[in-house]
Amino acid sequence: MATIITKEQQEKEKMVTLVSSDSEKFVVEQKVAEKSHVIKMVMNCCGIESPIPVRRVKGDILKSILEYCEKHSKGEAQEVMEKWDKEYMDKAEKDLVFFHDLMLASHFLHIQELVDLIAVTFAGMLKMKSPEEIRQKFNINNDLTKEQEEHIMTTFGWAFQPI
Amino acid sequence: MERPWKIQNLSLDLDEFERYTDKIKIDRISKLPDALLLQILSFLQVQDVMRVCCVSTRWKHLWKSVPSIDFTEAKIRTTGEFIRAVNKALSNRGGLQIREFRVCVDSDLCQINNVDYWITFVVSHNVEVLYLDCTPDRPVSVNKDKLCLIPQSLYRCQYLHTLTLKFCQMDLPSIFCLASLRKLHLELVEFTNEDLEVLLSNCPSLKYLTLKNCSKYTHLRVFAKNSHNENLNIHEDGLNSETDLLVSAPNLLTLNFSGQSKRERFFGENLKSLVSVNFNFSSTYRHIWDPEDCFLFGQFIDHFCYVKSLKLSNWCILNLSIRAILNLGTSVSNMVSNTVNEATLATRFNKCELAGLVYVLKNFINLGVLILNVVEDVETKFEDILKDEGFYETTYWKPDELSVVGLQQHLRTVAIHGILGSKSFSSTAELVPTEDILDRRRTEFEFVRFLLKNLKELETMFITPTEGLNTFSDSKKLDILFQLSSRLLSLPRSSPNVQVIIRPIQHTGIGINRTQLRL
Repeated sequence: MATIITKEQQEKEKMVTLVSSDSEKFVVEQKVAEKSHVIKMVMNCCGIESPIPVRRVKGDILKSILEYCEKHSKGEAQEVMEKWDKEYMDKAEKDLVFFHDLMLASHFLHIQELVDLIAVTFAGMLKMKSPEEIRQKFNINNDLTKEQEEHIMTTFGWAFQPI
Repeated sequence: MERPWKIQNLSLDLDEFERYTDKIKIDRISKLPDALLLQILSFLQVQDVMRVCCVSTRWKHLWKSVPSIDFTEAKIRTTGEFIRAVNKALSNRGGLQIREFRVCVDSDLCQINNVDYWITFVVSHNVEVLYLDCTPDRPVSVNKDKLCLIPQSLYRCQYLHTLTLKFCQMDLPSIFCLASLRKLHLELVEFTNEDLEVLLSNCPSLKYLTLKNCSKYTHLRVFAKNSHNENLNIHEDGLNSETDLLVSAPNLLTLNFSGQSKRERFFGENLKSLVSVNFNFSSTYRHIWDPEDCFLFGQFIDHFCYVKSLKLSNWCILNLSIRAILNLGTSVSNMVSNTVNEATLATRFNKCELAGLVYVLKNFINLGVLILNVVEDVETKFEDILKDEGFYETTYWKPDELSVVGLQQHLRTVAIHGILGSKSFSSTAELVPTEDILDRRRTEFEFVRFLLKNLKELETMFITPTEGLNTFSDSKKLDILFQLSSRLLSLPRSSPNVQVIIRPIQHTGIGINRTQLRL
């Protein structure tokens, strides 16, 4: 990835270099990078001649995000995109830590489509689960008092009926 | 002794170890900012939101701020408890926006003033997506049942962009404007034709309109004159005798018909922008075939022969076949289209349907792309009708006939999805010799042979075998695929450059990859 790109080449293909927090370099087309509103704004005011540091995002996450942006800047048919999105999510959700970082990064970079996609997948993990199952899956420590818990259970009893 | 690889290995292991422990111990999801957690929760039903918000203090108060309230799958929709639950969910909001509100409520149990209160409440909270289904839990008859009346407050909602109403009645105010409304779905909604026209003319941004079983017993007239009215879906079940359907929409791009429409007459006025039409009519087993109907459908389709893309369901193909076989229509009107470029047809590849397929090939003189979706073979009364009319197998169209005069020559791409028919083969089919399995689908091969022999400009033919092949063992499946390929490739061709490409079996329905087709 760390190939040296001359200025002429950059202008011809409108390429831009993005640098992750761990100094990994990614050269992508401008329209791919523009999928992120934040990067778009930075490019608009600073130009694309020099590499743009994306300090808050690690290399593996940025790589995955750019893969998404590249696919989504091609304008392919809806069915193809839906299938691709599903495969992309299936791969990402296997590692919760990675998935979590991916969501934070896409939120930080303002890629709304990707945030929505991740939120839907997250919602799928929470669906039809009892509070205890959710706590176990996400290692959530239950710090509610007995009274608080009972209060919720009685107020919204219908929601806790066996699924 | 220095062993750098060893050190490296060790550090890698540690890294992995940390990552692993990280994964099992740390609660990361609770550290996400509120905005993201609310976004996740906005994709859940209310009962799921409640369960999630019961896990810890971090989550406890989030339910009050979730921007969407969705009660459509709540199990208690037929009890008074449901009304209280909805009221409770709404009353704790404060001033926050309610972006989406979806609710299914039984009109028998729900008092009108409850629905009034909910709609007025969410409208005052700038709702953007509203879904209200009042269909009761029993068979309905539109004429007798009292429909739920939509409160006047709805018509003052300036942010609403998607509206779905089922089993409701609309009483339009004299002056109103739903300025942001883009999608409107009305189901079992009764209105006079004047009302519909007034409604449409007061929704200046409306782009998608769906009418499902509306005005079944009276004439339906759709006047969509605004510049954004681009998409219209009309779905009608059951019989509508002696009523008319009229569509007048100068900016309409796509038009979809579905259900089992039996409207007596169709009028299309001012449809000059129309690009694609989908006739997705279906019929049930009980549906009685009547040659008279087919004649009418033939006239119906004549209205649309100037569009670019046309989709026909299996029911339509059967109708066209009857028309072609009985020679109806040829003397009355001559449906020749020189604009249709892409046709998608659903066929069972039954031998009597070939007449309908050839009818399309003959009459759409500028067809460039033909997509055939093979659907499961079901019994119809089609064959019986032909027999009653005095037509027997000998009069069906046969691929060997030389009656291909006028067969258009622009067709460059043909795609056949789901060749070899049925969705799943019986368990005994495994033992049937491969040759016999293929021989049973002889009409498919004959039609492919016919296409390859007669289409001089053909460039590509895509063949996708049926998903049903997955029910066989792997070795049998491979054997079938080999024999299928061998048969297809040995067919004689008239076009020197034609490529026959067998594509992998698809698992998710029939996906038509447009970009791939254009390559």
